[in-house]
Amino acid sequence: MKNTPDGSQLLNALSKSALFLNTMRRSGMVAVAATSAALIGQPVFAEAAPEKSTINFKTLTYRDYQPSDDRIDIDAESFLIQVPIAGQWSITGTAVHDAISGASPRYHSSSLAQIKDTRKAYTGAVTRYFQQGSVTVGTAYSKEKDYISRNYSIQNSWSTPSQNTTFIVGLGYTSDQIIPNSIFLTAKEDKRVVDLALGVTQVLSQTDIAQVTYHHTRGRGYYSDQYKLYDARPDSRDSDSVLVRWNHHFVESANTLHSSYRYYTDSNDINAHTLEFDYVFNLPNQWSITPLLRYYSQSAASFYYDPVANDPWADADTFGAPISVVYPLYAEGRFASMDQRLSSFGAITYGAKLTKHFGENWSADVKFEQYEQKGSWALGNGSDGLKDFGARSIQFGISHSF
Amino acid sequence: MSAPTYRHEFKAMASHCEVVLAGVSAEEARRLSALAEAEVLRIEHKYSRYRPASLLSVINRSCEWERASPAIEGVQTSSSPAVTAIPCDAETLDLLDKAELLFQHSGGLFDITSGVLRRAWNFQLKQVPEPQALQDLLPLINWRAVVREGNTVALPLPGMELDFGGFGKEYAADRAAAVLLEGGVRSGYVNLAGDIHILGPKPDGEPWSIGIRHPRHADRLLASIPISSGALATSGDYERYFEKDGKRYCHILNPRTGYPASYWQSVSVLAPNTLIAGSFSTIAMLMEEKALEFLHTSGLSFLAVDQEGRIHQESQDA
Amino acid sequence: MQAISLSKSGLPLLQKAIVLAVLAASTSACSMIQPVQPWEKGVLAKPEMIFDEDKLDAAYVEHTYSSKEAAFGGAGVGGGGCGCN
Repeated sequence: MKNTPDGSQLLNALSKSALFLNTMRRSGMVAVAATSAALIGQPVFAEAAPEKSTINFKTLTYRDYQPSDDRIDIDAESFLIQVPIAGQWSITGTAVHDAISGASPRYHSSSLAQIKDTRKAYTGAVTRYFQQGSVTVGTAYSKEKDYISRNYSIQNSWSTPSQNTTFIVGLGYTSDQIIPNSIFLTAKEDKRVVDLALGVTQVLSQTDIAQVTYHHTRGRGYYSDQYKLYDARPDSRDSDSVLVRWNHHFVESANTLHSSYRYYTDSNDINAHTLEFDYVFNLPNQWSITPLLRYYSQSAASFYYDPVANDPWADADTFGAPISVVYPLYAEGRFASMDQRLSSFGAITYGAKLTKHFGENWSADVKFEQYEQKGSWALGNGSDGLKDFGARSIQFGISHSF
Repeated sequence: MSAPTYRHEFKAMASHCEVVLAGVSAEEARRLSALAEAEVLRIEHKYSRYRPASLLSVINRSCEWERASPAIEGVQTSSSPAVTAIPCDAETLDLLDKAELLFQHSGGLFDITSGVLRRAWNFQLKQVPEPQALQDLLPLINWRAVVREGNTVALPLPGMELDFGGFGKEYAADRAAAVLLEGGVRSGYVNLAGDIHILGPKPDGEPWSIGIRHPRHADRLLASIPISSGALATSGDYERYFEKDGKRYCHILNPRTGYPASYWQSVSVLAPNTLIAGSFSTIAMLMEEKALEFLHTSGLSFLAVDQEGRIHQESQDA
Repeated sequence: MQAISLSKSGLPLLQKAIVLAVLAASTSACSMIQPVQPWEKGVLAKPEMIFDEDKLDAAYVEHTYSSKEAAFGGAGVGGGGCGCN
């Protein structure tokens, strides 16, 4: 064996080679990494089977209203469970029960009778994870006394070897039954929708991830509203939408900005723009607060008729639904609807979500949202005859993983 | 009245870490310590051999047996190892250069390919491995055999591994300190489980008092050293060890013999940065009785405790 | 009596062009992006960086908007319909 190495040689050599620290400092190289210790041990692949099971319970209290009279209340409870199986599979199930009550809106219905209904909806999905992607097969079922919907879907995602780009292809088929429950519908009707989604998720940097999704739907069948007087809509609706989402994390503040924009267009001639931002402020002691702001605008359907603007009796309030507008069209067999949802309007939502984590495995959240809709807020010409319309919702949620 | 001191504690690299800052506002302290933590976690993500997605794990998979045609059970197939040269960034190449220097100037005692010994030494099971098990692993320990060409690195033998455990945490402490210094901090320190990088003295100019724990009594201090600049690191036989038949086996393993170092209870070194302090203290542990000469020739301040608990120290006026 | 709808001449073509342009931009941009290494994805693995992390929240929001607005969907297939739209 050689003589004892000389410590001064090593010290000199290492001191000279301490350059990298300095070059990094000079070039102002920004250090970026996980700022949450909870991440340690988590594989960072585009999509990997979840390591833990999750259960999530939420309640929703929703009320929409026009200033003069309250309209619809919804109380909903929902439940989600996701269980990983054998490291390569996961099963996800959700159940939602809605109780809907309230007066149906003026102009939009045959009467102002109280409506009360319940909706039960269930979804189930199985995902198989592979080295570079996953395949999900899912089904959904929803039932109301006048409406049954069944959906089947398959979605495949795969990533490039770097896991920085992920492609998604989804195909869905929905078959709905409309059950007669009003004087306007005498026989069962149905509706079938095929939809296709194509998406790309791209890691842009250590703190940015973006997604572009194109969604096409092709629907055939009964699209009218059985409760609305003289409501006749085309028996097909095709839609295209492009959704762009971008998440950015600010390392210094540990906050995150979510931005999204959606363009929607359909064969009813409705074009819509949706712009949404929310910002996750991380607070001490595992609290976070996320204010959100959303703007939505749509143009009217080609067969939308404004109940007031076209009404010879402009002060229609006293007369109930202004059937004089659409009845002649309806009688001629032309499409017509006075559904506010087909009008031209703009809408703003603002709200905030407050989340508290308790250790790694429990979290609770409460979310408040206020929604306001006005004809004059539309990007183009808004429909004149709309009453301002609003909605308010509060969600409570609790989530546990194990 | 003295300026407030802010302490940010976090867990990284399976150890308790802290950033202590003074002379900055509370908001600045919060922002900068989050940056320092992020830098430590970045290095952990990049160089942990326990993370399959780390760059180090990619390098450790650079040599694998080729998937030969289905082997007949019990029959040796003629499969050959397939080596993929892994391109590395400047930071990694720099760390590999440092590993080279440490190997050269330690007579091969500091060898980042010696991590494979942990396959034989299981500190949870507390079992002394069979000599043959260690002999089988020794051929895999050979830094000289690691192939470096241009900006790439590759391991020549399947089963070989690089392990930055010998200086990764120390490097992280230096990098976190660099981030803080860049952010304008002039007072405070970074402490990654005893690997300490001092940013500067207390706002009043007084040095920080850094304790060195007693190698046999976890709750007692052996010494308290006033430091206002530089770095302090300690290697000891008490960090991970087990005792069997009255003999202590610690986690500091000699790459030539495969057995743990046993001469010193602990060695602490004061140096310009944590990487130097940490690698010197580890090499000193492995050099056993020759450590004092090695440390003395370096001119660095140190404090070493031998198996009888006697303290050997030299302090230089830095 | 008149329909309050915007002019519709040539829109479908324009729409397809927009779709293609957005997809093309998103893919050609990839070549300009510095690839992020697996060990640099700590931030991206944070829950708040994952799209639709809170699935029940996303489902409520989708459901309540589709009872008030004509546009829907975008993020993917599945989930099923309801009588509200």
